[in-house]
Amino acid sequence: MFTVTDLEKRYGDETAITDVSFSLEPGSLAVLVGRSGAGKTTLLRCLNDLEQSDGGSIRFDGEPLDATDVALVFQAGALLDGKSALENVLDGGLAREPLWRELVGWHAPAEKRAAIERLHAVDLDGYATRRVGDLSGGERQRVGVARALHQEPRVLLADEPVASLDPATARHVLDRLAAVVRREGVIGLVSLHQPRLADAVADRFLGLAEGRLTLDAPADDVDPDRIAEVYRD
Amino acid sequence: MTDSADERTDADRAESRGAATAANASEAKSRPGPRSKPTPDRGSDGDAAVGEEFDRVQAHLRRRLAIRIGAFAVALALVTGAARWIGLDVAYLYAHRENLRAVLLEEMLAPAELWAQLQADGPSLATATVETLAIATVGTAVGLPIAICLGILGASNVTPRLVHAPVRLLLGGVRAVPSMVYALLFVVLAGLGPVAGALAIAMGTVGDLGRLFADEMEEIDRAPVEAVASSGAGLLATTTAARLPQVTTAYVAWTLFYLEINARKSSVLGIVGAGGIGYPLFMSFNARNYTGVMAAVVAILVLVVSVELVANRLRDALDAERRADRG
Repeated sequence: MFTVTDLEKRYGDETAITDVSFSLEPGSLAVLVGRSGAGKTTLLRCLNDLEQSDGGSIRFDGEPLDATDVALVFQAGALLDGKSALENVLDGGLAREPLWRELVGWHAPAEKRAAIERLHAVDLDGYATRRVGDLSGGERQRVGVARALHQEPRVLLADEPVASLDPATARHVLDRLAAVVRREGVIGLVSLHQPRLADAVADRFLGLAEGRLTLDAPADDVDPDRIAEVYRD
Repeated sequence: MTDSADERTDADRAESRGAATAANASEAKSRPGPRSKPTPDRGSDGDAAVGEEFDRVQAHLRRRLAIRIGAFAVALALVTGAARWIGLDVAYLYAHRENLRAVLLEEMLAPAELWAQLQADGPSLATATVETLAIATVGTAVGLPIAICLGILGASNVTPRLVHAPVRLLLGGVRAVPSMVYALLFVVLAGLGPVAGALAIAMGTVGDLGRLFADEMEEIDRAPVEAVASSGAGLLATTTAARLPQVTTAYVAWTLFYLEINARKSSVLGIVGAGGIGYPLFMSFNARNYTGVMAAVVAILVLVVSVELVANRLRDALDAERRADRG
């Protein structure tokens, strides 16, 4: 069980998030909604330790998480265009490979095979040697997902991973994300501006408004009106 | 990919989520300690596909590695051959290390002698140092506007090939000539002294900064340029409004860096009569007065460090102004 308790983050005098508490189960996908500036990105960055929180705790089965336990899929992919899809995915496993392998570009066969499996898991069969800079938006996002999965995290976060994609491509990316989350038993938390895109795949909805959690419910109990309340002034 | 989610009912969604959860719950990973690799749920066809792609990847990587090893071997052979041809002999250098040690420790770095030399040569060294700084500053200032113009004209995303290719060629030609040679030429034009040095520095600035400015211009984001150009603005207006703002920070950083480089370059141009601290340094060397050489080196060190400190302050001030503008 992934448990966040009373999480708080301030920037100077401004409170970005406060009193944020929730729990998520392995093999489930939660969707985080809220207006721009509500604190979604701040929350995800605190969970991934890219930002140091100012209060509260983050635990997995009661224990603190270490650096490799949480992976983040970035909005614009944050991939290296000049590298191949395989090389970008392999970057997700840097923490467990000796440094010299990255320096000389000579990864263990088991790592390469696992990275190719990740690409296949997101429907990128045959893309291993293709340069990321030549891929479409949806393909790049799926490479980002594969990279995050290659890190073998306990928790997979995604910060508006489909913001720049058309609805059909966005649904495909989310479907793949949900499938791998459930198959690999990780905890998925995805922030989205278009909650309807996640209707088919979300197990839970979390809603942030002005830095506070105003919605935390199973997806079956959430209707469009409840989500609209999160976005209300 | 299909897009049918809009038409799914609540029941469909629940069924989809439930089925997926139930089907995969048994395959959820456990974490006993060291992480285990995931068990792919792909069946034999999926495993075969992964295997095939893995073999293709390995073949691709082997080819790439062979090319890289080959290229490295060729580079190593060329460098080794060149070193032998110029007579680089590490054993000889090691055998004569005592000569260098004696000059360094007994003459150049002997504290009492160095201090006495600095006191004796102080006034003349100070004048020569200020002259060196003036050469660097004037040379950079003269070369900079020309470098900016040629940098813009030499960018392939600004001008057509008929323009940017010859400009790049010109910049390469200007860069190919060492500053010493320009200094010798300009001594013929301007006579012995710092003017020749400043003109030599200007030429070097045009060649080096012009190339860097062109490279920076080619890396800009095309979208704002297209947005401005689509309003009907001409090349000059588009460059001013959409291209230059994207490279200003980089141009300023390069210019300040080149000011430091030019201060170093200027310090040796006096060897060919182009003014600055190079002349007293050269005269000391000719007279085998290594303490005098070291005194000149100390003056150059003070000059270069001072220029770097001023450049850093300027950069910090510009950064602070930019942050203040962002509000």
